[in-house]
Amino acid sequence: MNTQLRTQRKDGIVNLAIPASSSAGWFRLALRRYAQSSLGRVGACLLVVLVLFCFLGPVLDPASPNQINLIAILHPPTWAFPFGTDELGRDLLIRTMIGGQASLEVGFAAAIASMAVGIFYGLVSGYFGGWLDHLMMRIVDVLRAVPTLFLLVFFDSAFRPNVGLLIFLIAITSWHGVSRLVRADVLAVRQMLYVDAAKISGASHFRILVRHILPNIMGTVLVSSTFMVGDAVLLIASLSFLGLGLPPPAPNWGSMLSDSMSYFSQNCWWLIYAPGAAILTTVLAINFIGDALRTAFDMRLEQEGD
Amino acid sequence: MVHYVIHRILQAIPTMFGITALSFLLMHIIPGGPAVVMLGDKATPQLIAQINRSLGLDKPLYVQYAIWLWHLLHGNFGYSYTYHQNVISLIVENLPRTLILVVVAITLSHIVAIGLGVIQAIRREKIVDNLITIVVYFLYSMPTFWLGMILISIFSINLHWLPSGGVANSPEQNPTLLSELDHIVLPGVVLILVTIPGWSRYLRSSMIETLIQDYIRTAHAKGLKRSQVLLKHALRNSLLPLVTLAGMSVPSLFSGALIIEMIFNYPGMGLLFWNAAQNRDYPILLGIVTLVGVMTIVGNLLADCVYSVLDPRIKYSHQ
Repeated sequence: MNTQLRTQRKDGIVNLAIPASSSAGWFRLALRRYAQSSLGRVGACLLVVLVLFCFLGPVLDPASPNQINLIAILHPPTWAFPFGTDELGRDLLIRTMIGGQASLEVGFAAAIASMAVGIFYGLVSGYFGGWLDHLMMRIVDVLRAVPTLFLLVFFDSAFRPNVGLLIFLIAITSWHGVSRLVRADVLAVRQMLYVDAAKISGASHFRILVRHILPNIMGTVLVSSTFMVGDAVLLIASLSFLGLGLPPPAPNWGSMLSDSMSYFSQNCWWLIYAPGAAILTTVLAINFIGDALRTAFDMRLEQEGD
Repeated sequence: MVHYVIHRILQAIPTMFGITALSFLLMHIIPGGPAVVMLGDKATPQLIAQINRSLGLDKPLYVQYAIWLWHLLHGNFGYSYTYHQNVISLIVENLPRTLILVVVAITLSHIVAIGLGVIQAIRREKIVDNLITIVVYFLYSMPTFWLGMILISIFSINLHWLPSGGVANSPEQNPTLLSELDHIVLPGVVLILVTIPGWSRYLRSSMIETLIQDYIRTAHAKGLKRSQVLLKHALRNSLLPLVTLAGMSVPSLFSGALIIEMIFNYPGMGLLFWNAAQNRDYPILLGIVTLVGVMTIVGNLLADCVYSVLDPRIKYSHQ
């Protein structure tokens, strides 16, 4: 997998010294900054176009993605088949659209699941601190040292997961990057006076975490969730390419590419371009959005292996 | 500095144990346990019990873990039942190829990334900078396997310049260094291309941040040449964190190597892992996971120590 870029607040304390009550205004201001950046606009437009292509496209083009057509095998792109056809004469346009649905849905679901784990873990670790924090961060160190893809290949070999289990497995193997960022932010926020004030007024730990700390780290949460979606789409595509991800016969971008492995050597170049370009465009759009959000929330680039 | 290094080593030790505990845990969540996998259709309760006894799986968990650790310390990673060979000798056989790939990729992508980062920082917001930024964006979002397929389709299938996979190690071919190199070019290029973006982006922003520091202005004011200021004062300071980043990127490089080795049929550790996963050969899988984990931690430790030598300002602080 790619080396991953993460985010970190540039000037932690200074920027965070905003009372909880005004965090909504601060948040809105950042979103306005986002809307003004051309990178953010391009990214958002690309993503909307892609989602329409995958989810609305099949409505306009009622061809079946699994319709075998033996008189149009390995057809290069023409007006009838704009993306060409595969080794069974299936229309690659409709397969790319339908395949995108699975890739996007599972990518989003996996990203949300691992964000949930990562945010919760980071909040607890940063807020309670002490030996618990120490222990929890050592566990993160262990996970960080093992390549995610190796773990997922292992799990696949052991469990042969269905889609639900796959999302769960991605969540438990890729939450740790987020948890470190969230924890670092929590460490800064928990020293704020308003947290002390909430403690003194008798608020429970849960209330302090959810009402006072979480709203103030939303920038980090939002930016890292965005990148997480891109990572998850890439990860699902890689797994499906390796034959581990989503089950056949329903198409998805990764498995379309691995199907074409045995045919593209016969100069059937169109087999690999549509699904690959679709993955690239998706991840590109999401990275644009993430970078624009990062600028809007004033965070610095921190790189991190995964 | 000595204090810092000692502290980092002390911090790495529990993480090492964590890695062994993780692989021990993984071994025990395999459905049915190793005996069922080894026996396949022939599994009977008696046979399973017999194998469990011979593997020591009937002992209490902490005893099993202690035995497992003891074996690991002696380089005993278990026995592969598909290759009928010790796991460690399999790894030793396959690791060098992957290491070559990874080391070459780290080195060359660093060099390229540094060059790009410096050019971008100097020509900030100019055409060159924007152009590089766009290319880097594309590379960063590119699925590794797709990039590999595109390069195969261009350079192997259309141009016939380079082989699309494998290695030249068949006996009658009598592999020379050159024929070996032939087979490493495409996999290496893919790994380099997907590794560059992270580092060049980092370097660009870190250079830009360094260029506004006071000591840079001082260096200019002293009348130093522009190139001297850029290379000696700015670049050196922006390069330092890159040492740590290189250490941290080891796992992602191995992930990349897994996919690349599979596409190019390049017989390294990634391909060994992949084939073992197909055969459910768990001793190999766990051996490699443990080894990569330990290598990453040692790599990080070394990187941090080198960093603390290079940068006298660093002291251990509780972050």
